[in-house]
Amino acid sequence: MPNGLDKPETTLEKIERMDRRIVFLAIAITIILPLIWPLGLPIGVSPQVDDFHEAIESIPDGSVVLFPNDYDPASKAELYPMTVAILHHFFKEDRNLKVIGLGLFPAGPPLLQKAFEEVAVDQYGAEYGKDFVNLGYKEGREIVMASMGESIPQTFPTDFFGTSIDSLPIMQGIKNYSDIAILVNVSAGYPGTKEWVQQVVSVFDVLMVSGTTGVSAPEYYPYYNSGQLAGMLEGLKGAAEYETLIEEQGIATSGMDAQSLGHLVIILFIIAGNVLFILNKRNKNRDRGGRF
Amino acid sequence: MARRSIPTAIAFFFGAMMVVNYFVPWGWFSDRANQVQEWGLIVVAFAYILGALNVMRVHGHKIQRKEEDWRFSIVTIITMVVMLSFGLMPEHWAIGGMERGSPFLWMFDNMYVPMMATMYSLLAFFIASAAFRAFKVRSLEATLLAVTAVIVMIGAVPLGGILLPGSMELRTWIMETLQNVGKRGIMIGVALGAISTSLKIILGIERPYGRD
Repeated sequence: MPNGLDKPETTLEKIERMDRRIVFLAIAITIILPLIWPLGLPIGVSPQVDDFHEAIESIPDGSVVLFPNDYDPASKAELYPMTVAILHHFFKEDRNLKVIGLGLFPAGPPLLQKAFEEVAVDQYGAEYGKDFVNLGYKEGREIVMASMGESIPQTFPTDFFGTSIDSLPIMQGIKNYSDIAILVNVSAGYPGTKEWVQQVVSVFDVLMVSGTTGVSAPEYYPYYNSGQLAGMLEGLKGAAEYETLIEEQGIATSGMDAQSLGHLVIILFIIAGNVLFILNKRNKNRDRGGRF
Repeated sequence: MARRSIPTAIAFFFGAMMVVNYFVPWGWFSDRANQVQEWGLIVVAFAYILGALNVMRVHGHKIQRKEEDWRFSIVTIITMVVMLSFGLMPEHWAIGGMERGSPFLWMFDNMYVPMMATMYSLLAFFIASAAFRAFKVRSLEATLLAVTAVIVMIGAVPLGGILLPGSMELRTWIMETLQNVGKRGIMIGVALGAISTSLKIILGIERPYGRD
């Protein structure tokens, strides 16, 4: 007998051992439906998202922004909307910000390039090599970060397309972190935000903000609390809040309804699982003649 | 004797050099330390070539001996060779380069990205199933964990503010206060452990770079 007793399984025990495909189906339905019919739930803005926005607002017009996107397609659902929202902020108000992008995950730079083309080029008419550049990927993790402190052109002699960066107008006069106004990192883990703080913020005193996956955000709260991170975006929720702040509703906002219902269903499953657990335990104790 | 002392001396020299440069980044000395970092980048690049060759060797042997799931090894080698070939083709070739529409980026966008995203997305389904089965209030600690998880989850989405007013603020407090205290303790512990291990390596007490 599945219940370990010489008795047939009760209905409650059967429900507790329910086929997991039912759980999968429930999750699939609750995620798909709001994507088709959005609920339009109101999105509040957390203090750390507000600080992120303020940090970018605080740099002077015409400043150079270092924009490492350290993630790959596994985290695309959470972090790509963040990259898009941040790019909107960079280019929206015609502040003439110069954006230097790169990636320390091998599969990161093609995603960044796609975001540059979709937002910077298609929507704001920004020009590659003049308003923004994609330096591509370089293996070496912390060594790359530290090496850029000495010389960015030496660390990245060519861009994502293999073009010499000496020939790009945006890179003229850029030597190292002293020419960077703010470091805006989008990170899925290692190497990422933690390493940028340790290797760059604490050594070269660069202003830094970070957008991370929801699961890795707890790792970075101590850096936000200490002021080493001037602001933080946390997962898809952070991206949606940012879209609200810059008044540019996009894929993160539409995804929040699905995430809301997804979280709710998981919570309902946790509650249901525990109610069944307690009831079954009580019934077993009663059958054995004990007290619950 | 020399087999032991020379690697130890090299590790001590370069390790100490990087530590000193971190605290005293002074002119000539700093330039030398930066040069060492450049060497590091070059060595790492060679490690990639070794890694690729190793993948070929391991999967080649698997195919040769027809070990379990050897057919997957054929897929691994073919995809690696195809992606590598298109990635290495010069830009001026019709099928080379990294421009949008190039074969390399087409395969990246239409094969690699959806496959990776699918793997990660499956987590949502497994988490829901695992939460239903394993998140049971068996003890006081488990109850605290479950209640905290529910608050953090509901406070993380806009629906939380509607169903449970104040959940967003409560979540922020849990993340910035309770969670932070534990995290800081762990981070300080890990940092002390890293310092201790680094010192052992620099001083030759632990020698991961050589055999005794």
